[in-house]
Amino acid sequence: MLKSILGRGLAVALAIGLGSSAYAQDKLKVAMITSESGLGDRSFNDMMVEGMKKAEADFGAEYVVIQPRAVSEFQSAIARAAGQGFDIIIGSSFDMIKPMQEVAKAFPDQKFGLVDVGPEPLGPNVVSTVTKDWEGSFLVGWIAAKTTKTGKIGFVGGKDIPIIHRFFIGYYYGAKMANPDVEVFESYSGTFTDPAAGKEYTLALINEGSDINYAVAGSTSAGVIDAAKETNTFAIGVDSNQNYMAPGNVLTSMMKRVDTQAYDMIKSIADGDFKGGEVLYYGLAEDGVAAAMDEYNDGLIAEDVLADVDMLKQKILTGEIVVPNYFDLEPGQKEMGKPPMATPPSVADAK
Amino acid sequence: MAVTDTAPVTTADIELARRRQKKVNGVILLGLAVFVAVAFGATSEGNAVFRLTLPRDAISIPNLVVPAAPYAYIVAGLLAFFGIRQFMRGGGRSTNVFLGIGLLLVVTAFLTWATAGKSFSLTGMLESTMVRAVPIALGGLAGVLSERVAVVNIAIEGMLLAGAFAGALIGSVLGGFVGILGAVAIGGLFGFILAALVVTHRVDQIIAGVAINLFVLGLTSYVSSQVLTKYTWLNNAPVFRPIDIPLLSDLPVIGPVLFRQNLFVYGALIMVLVATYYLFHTRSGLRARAVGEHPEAADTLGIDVYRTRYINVTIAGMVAGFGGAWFTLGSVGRFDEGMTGGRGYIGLAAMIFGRWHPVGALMAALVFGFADSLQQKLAILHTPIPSEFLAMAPYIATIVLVAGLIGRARPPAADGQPYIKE
Repeated sequence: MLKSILGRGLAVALAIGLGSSAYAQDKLKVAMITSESGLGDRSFNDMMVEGMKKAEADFGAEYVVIQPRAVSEFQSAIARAAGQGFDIIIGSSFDMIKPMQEVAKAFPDQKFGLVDVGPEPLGPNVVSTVTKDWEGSFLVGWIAAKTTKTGKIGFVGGKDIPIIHRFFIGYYYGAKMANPDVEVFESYSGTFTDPAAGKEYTLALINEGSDINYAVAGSTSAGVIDAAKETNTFAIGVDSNQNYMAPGNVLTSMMKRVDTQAYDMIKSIADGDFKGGEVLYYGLAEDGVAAAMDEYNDGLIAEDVLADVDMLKQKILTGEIVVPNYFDLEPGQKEMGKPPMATPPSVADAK
Repeated sequence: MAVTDTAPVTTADIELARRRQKKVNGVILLGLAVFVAVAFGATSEGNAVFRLTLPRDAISIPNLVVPAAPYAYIVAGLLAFFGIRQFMRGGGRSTNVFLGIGLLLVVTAFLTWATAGKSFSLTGMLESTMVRAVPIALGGLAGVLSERVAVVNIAIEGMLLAGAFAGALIGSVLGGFVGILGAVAIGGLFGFILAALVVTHRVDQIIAGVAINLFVLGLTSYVSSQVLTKYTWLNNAPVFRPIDIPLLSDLPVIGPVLFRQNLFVYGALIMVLVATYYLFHTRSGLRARAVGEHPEAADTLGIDVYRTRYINVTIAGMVAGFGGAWFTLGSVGRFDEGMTGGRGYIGLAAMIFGRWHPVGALMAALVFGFADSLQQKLAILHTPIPSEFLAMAPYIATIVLVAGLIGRARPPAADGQPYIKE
């Protein structure tokens, strides 16, 4: 509560303060609305601020961060920002779709941006982005298959639902393309909020011989990472850079680059080519996903595997490799172990 | 607990019920035999390979290879034999034994069917059975300790959650061992509060327990979402890693399952032994049980009923608090809202299934732990059963065991009744 009042107070104060001067200098003004977890989450919100900072450096854009504390406060927070002359209001997360759509209808001249949501256009004055998490999963699957010593890798999903299958299919595809002989275990802990379950599921996979496990399971992932620490194997983080959670035991993280996405939105305003209603896809080629590299996983991945990343990027860009999106698959292909999913084409075949 | 009928019954009633039960059991076993033959025997091919050696083991022993289809037919044959035997001259003490063995056989046949043509680590599964059983066993033990003095303890779930929370918070700031002490203290505090409510103020025991559960759930969720998400260093406790017991931990199968575990597993096993000794071999244990069976008589003999109940329920809370710390300090070192996920209630079921005996509660907890880890294994094996159904396994086990198998378990006679001193 306090946080939201402070956030709003700050936003109003800044908006009033900037209101006169900013218009005079014709500076770009951006409002960023955080998701529930707010700043300091070492995840999406912090990453998006990085995008803001970059825009500030490149275009001299002023940005204000507004932190609503609950989903129920999203709409009022966006509406308040909409009345204050920002050039664009940028938010993230699925929970913000409805509130932003409502406000966008009421303020047809205000430009909005929403990162990392679904493929549906959100309105004539809203640009939204879809993160191709399946391409990011493909990339970490490739890295895992090239790094495993046991020839077995694992996947721990939260719930057994289509959106999580999308990660798995990408991961599986990448792993099999890197090494057709690699064995990929698929498992779902059934929960996004139980680290203890995540740990037990991962230990079960490790007992089956898997030495790299990809966690796509919300806070259950903490258990996957802890299991890696306990057994000195590897985990792969998801969404944001989770390498810091167990230095040396997190091989990498499949990072959604919400910073790039937010930055590009501001850039479109600066360049004057903002197209409302557009849905932009951010995959490996667009730097919308990446395998996180930092001081915590330095040296864990071989140099030649790292060099593959650029090669894969190129091949995806030219369409030589098409990573399947689970939602586009035929019903028969969605099942594991059935052709053609069981034997995805190798890179050589694709040529 | 309203699980058993305590109303007086006549001998004729019992005889009639026994004869009917005999037929029902026979039919159940025959039905299972047909089911195993059709569902598992006819559909499986190849061998099921159960690996007994873990990647970290010092001594490796050969895999257990079971031909799937023949095994299913053997199990079906045994079940049919049990069923017919039950039909002819069943009843009596052996009934539950045969039903129990029958169910166990069905489970092994199911596992063999699911594994046919593949392999999986049986030792790994037993290891995780042990780990998953810990909070349930400690919850059940807390239930035993308080119900033995006739205080129904629905609040175990809340005590586990409070212990988990205190363990994470205090452990993050002051280290793991202080975290455990904090969890035990908080659990004991809630035990004391429960005792104060139901012993001194004679609040309905179920309502008091539910109130504690809701209070703890609300409080921990609030603090965790308002404070812990903001100051993550408050939710980053050290984890107790497995400790290898020299020599014993090198034994195949038994080593990893029993002697390569963390402090909480050893602690739970020791507590069960100590509680058994306390309840059945010490004077104060005898007094505690007397208070649970017949408080008036105990009072007449000079036992302070209130004091005994306060002490035992507080100890029960401390045990549950220790069990709660397993979720954070024994696992990942961080607290998440509602992370106990109903294990406290399953602990109560374990207590009933274990017939209000510490060792029984531990055995029952192992059954639930097994169901839990079975679910993980099946998820990896890609059985055609949807994972949501697999996730129900522990709860189905609860229902089957509590409703079907335990038969006439008798709770302490005064269970759930407040005592009013004349």
